[in-house]
Amino acid sequence: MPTLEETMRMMHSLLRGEKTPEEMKEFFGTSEKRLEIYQRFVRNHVTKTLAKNFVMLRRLVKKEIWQGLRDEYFKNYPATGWQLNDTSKSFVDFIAKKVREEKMFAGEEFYIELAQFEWEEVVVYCSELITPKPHEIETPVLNPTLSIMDFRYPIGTFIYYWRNKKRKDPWIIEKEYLKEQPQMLFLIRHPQEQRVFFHVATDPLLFAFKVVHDQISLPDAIKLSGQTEDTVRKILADAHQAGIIILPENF
Amino acid sequence: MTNYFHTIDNKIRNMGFGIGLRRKHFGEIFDNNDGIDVLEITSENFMKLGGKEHDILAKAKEHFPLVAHGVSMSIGGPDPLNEEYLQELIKLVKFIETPYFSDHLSYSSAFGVEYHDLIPLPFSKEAVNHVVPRIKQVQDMAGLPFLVENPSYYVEMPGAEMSEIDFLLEIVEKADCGILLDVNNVFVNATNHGYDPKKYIDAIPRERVLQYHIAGHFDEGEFIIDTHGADIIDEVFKLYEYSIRHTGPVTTIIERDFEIPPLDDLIAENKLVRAAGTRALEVEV
Repeated sequence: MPTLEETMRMMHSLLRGEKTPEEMKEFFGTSEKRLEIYQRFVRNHVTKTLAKNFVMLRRLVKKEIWQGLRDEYFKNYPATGWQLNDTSKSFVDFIAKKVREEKMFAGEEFYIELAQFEWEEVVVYCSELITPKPHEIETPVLNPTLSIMDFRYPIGTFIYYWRNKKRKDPWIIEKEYLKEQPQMLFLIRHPQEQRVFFHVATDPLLFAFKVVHDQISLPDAIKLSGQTEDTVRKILADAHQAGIIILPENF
Repeated sequence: MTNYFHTIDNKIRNMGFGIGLRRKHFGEIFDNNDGIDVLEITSENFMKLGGKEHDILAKAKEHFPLVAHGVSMSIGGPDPLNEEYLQELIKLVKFIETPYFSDHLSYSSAFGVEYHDLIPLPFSKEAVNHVVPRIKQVQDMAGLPFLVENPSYYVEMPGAEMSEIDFLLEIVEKADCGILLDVNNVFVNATNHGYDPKKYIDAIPRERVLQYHIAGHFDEGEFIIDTHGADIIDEVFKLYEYSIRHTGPVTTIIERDFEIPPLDDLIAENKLVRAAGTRALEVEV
């Protein structure tokens, strides 16, 4: 009679795809079909989570290429965290390796940055940090879920374009997106909407970020910027509306 | 040793009828909940999360009694229990003020790898001796009663020395914990492994059952699969009635994880479950 550990090790080989149901059916004394259920379920948790977390990347690559990527990922990056989303957390590194070492996607780093963006959206959404409400603060604060990402490629423009595109054409990357064009993005989980939004870091948003990050007083911000009080207040109000900063109720 | 299981009184044992709180219904559940007495949360869907999940949970605990049911404890797993996971779980169960918490009598991770699925244990003495101290450990850590759910399984692991029901009973008696009896799982396992589901239920000491799950399943021909992705079928309703006659009224939750229907449909199904539970007790009278 096998020990508990022996049985678990055999099951582990099956679940990790190291052994086939055919090879294991004798040990378990059951049909291949029943063993396949477990193999399929465990695999699907990883592949479906990848598909959910990397929607853009998945739609950009051919079906068979995506299938190849997810199979290789499942094989080489076993899940180690109890959170289901964590099954995808090494996918960016995996894509980076494919692009840089194996020259997949013609070695275009754009794909790595796209994967980085998509994973960061998951991280920001799942942040356990609680954003304070305006009545709970006395001075402006940054949204604690804020993530600032620096890209070499126009990732924000690309994503905005495709997410707002209603056409059902096959997804392609126009050459313009593959030209380096640095872009800084702010990602936040919006305090009211509780969804993730991104904003291209424009001058007014960067100014609002700096004012709040450095705890610059309103009079000093007016003085430093050379803007009118109304203009500075509007810049801060817009950043608040965007969810990047939180202003106190009576600001 | 603290006796957690016996802290449960009849009021907690029967909190009524309810459903699992699902993201699809977040926007509606507080305004549309006719006949829903209690909500169950899947612990992992709310652990370590701020944002919408946190806000919904805070609101839900003001409106409903909540119970926590997990899928990732891996109570039967070969690795030590995950301390970080348990701390997060305890934080959650304290926050929602649940009277008990539950997970499956199976394992979901091994040798450092998470499967995110429920893998059956062999019905062996070695497995009993492995699981019992782990249940005691989580009860001691949380200071709350822990319930084990009878999981569905499609392969009987090699090395069985007892029946499925004897395995469950030996563990709950030795660990002194409660049972979350999943009636659909009893039906699925009885069908797939060829035993009489009523005999399984007859063998359970009624006082050990502190919660029910009821759900739908998928018929794959050679066997049926516990998908939580379909309506509850008549045979499962009948088995539930049979079980309620045995245990008396116990908190019952509909589990629906796939093909999640509109809330109105679940409310209607919850009414059917309530009717079945009520009918069962009328027969007893």
